[in-house]
Amino acid sequence: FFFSSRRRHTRSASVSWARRCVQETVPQPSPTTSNYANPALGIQVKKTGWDRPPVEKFTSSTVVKALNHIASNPRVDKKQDILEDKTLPDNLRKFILKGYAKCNTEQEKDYMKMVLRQMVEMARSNNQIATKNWDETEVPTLPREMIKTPLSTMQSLLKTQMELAHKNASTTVAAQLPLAPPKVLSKEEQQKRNERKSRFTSAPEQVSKPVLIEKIAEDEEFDFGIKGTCTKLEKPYFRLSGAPDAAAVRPEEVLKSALKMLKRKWKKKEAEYPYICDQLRSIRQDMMVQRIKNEFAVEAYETHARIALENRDIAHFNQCQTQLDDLYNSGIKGHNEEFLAYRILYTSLHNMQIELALILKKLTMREKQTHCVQHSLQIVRALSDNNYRVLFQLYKQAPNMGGYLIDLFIERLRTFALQAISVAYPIIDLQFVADHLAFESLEKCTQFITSIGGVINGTTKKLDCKASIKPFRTTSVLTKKINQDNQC
Amino acid sequence: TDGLSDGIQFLDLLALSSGKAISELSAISKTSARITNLRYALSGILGLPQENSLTVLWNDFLSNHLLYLAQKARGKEPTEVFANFNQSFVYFTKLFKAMPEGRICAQATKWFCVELYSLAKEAEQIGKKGTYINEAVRSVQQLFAACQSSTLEAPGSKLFCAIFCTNALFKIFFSLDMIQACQTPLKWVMQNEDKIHIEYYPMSTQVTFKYFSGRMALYQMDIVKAEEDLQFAFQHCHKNAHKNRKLIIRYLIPAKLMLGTYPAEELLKKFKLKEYIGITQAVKSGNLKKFSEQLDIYEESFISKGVYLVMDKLRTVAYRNLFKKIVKILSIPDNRLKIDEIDKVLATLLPPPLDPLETECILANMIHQGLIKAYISHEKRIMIMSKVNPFPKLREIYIGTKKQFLNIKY
Repeated sequence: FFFSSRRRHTRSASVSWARRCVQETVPQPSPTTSNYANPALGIQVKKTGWDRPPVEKFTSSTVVKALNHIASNPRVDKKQDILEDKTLPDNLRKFILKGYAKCNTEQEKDYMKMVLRQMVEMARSNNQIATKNWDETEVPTLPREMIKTPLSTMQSLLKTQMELAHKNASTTVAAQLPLAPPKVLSKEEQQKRNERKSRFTSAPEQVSKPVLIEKIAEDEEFDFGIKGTCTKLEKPYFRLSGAPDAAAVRPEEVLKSALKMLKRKWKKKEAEYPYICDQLRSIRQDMMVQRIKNEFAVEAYETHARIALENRDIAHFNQCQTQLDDLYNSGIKGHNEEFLAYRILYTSLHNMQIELALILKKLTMREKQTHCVQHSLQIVRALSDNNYRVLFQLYKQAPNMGGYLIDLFIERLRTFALQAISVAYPIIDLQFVADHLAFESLEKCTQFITSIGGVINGTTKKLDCKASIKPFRTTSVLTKKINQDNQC
Repeated sequence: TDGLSDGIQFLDLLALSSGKAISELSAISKTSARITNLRYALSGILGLPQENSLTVLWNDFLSNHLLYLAQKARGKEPTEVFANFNQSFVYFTKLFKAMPEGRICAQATKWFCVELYSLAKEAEQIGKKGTYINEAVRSVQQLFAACQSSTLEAPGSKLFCAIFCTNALFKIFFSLDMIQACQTPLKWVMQNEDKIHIEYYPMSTQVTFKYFSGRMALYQMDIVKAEEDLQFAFQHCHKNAHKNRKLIIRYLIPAKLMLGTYPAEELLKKFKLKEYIGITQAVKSGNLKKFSEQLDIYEESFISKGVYLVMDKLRTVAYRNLFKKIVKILSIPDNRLKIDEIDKVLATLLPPPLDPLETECILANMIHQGLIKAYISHEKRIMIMSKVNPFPKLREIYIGTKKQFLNIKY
């Protein structure tokens, strides 16, 4: 019986642990030091883990994107304090100071400042600064006063408990209760309060939260659901920095004909990939802005995904793939199984074990019986064993465009196979390698092996395995990023 | 008088006596020692001077928390109870942030995190799915952020409470199947390991933490770490916590199998894990046919638990055991094994047609990973094995060389 369990935990241990925590004598920090995060310790650094696909490079376009975002959402607290404005009348100043006096914490003060600023702006726009009776205006209510804890019931609850427990203490405790008595509000005041409340729909605590600069995904920028009126078939892609103009957005019918035209051009090879990619992106953008999510959208994304894959553009393929996953999940029909097979291949080639496990969990019987999904599952199995014999045979038989997806990784897969071969065999025929690793010809095989540092005996056409072990383990092919190939 | 230490004691008392405090608050007895403590603590807290900014926070927290306790005692809907508790949790977080470094209420933090998850689960069963548990995530993440911002070493600092938050986050993410989200808290804990001494925590927290970190390691195919963590969790799990023990051992067995330790059939029967019985026998004896059959039969069960990919990797271990048997039975004098002999055996076990080149490929990979110490001559089709220990123990291969087991990184 190789598992033994030992009972370690006792009740007294837990209590003494708790006491230990409370009574631990730790040097208290001086009042001036604050709990700000030490950059060397606690700040979380967002890194891409090894099991996630490499993130898009931080190019100048992403910097421009971020700057546009900041420019369009200016932060409120960069403005000056209201009191610094010399033109304010005295009674307004007194009013502002009254408001500040009510605040207990920094957060409350920030909130008060924001509210007061808005009041002053409103008065300014109505030309009421000098005329309004600031002495009689009510100071804005703080969030803690707005929260609807039933204070009266709280008071009575506490009181009854105190009274029941101990006669003497009840009076002293009740007298010490700092809970403010609930105000009796007139109808007018209640209305004013409600109006003010409705102005701030979000809870005030969120005012002091840091604003994260989010990386805006291309297809999730602005979602307005407007109807387009443009009729141009061709339209280049421009990044949106504000609300789109309806005259520049194409309606669905136009987009359909645009897609048809692009497909025809691509089949007849009348256009290059950068142009096609650009046009497809603008089609996707127009669809996103008009919230078109139907079978046509699926068709457009599938087309772009396939064309991107053919041109080794894994970044756009991945974008389309994720969007398609969402669309399929919401029930829209398309080539679900084909793209499911691509997803399985993608996650297993990138070694994303967790995602793969989750995909397997959601796989249905019907999907498992389709040829493309079965093929991709066989590839998953071959990859986990590094069974290069089976892997390259499957690669040659890959249905739809799975072959293109594996093509992106083919150099790495061949290198891993060569690592195994070089360790197991002392010397081996090059023809053997060329057959096993699905090379088109012996020359291509020789070329590849020499490019990664393998040692070949030219006359006998054999691979010198012993000398090649180290270069195969350390070649740069193993660490080269896939995403940098041929982006449009 | 400083009401703060009273307040901390109050919170800890709350944690220690949570269940009973509820009943006692609603049906108060004069001589109850806990209630006098509660009262004393409350008088201390509420006696804080007006200018103190903490007073506001204490007021908010207490009024909300007592409301929650009262509601729970009256047996309100779990959804309402959860909403109140969540609010209480939010106020507790603020209080936590405002407290100075040297004084923390670890017991209370632990209680809050544990309660939040169990209440969220209850609320989920009745109300709309997804809303409650997402709120719980937000609250816990805020508290976690507050813990992380501390700079002093644990115990005695806010960093100490971070583990309770991570445990709560793990439970929530695993229940939502968002396992990737567990990476960030886990990585943070790993980075700050020297500041967080895991031995100081109560055993239940340690076991929970090790269980989840072991499961994450299993997902990422880090078998050595998975086995280490899950073994610790299993050994220290309370012997009466049957459900937890079964959970842990369910994930410990694949890790052990990969490292060459085979569980006895009585153990599997005791924990009612029938899916592992057949496959263990198949791997141990090298019976590839049975292995494939068993994997197919219990495929759904393995996939739903998330261990399918690990069980698939056991095929290599089965091959290794089979080859070891072949070598032993044939008792070759000069350590030269004809690959044709292996082909004959595989023809009986694998579905036809057999690909002889595939046999060589499998052998080559096993040599590459160190499972067999040998080399292959392709022309003569023989495998020349080392005289000393050609089939090293699985454990030695992985733990000794610290290799990632059978996992080629792309």
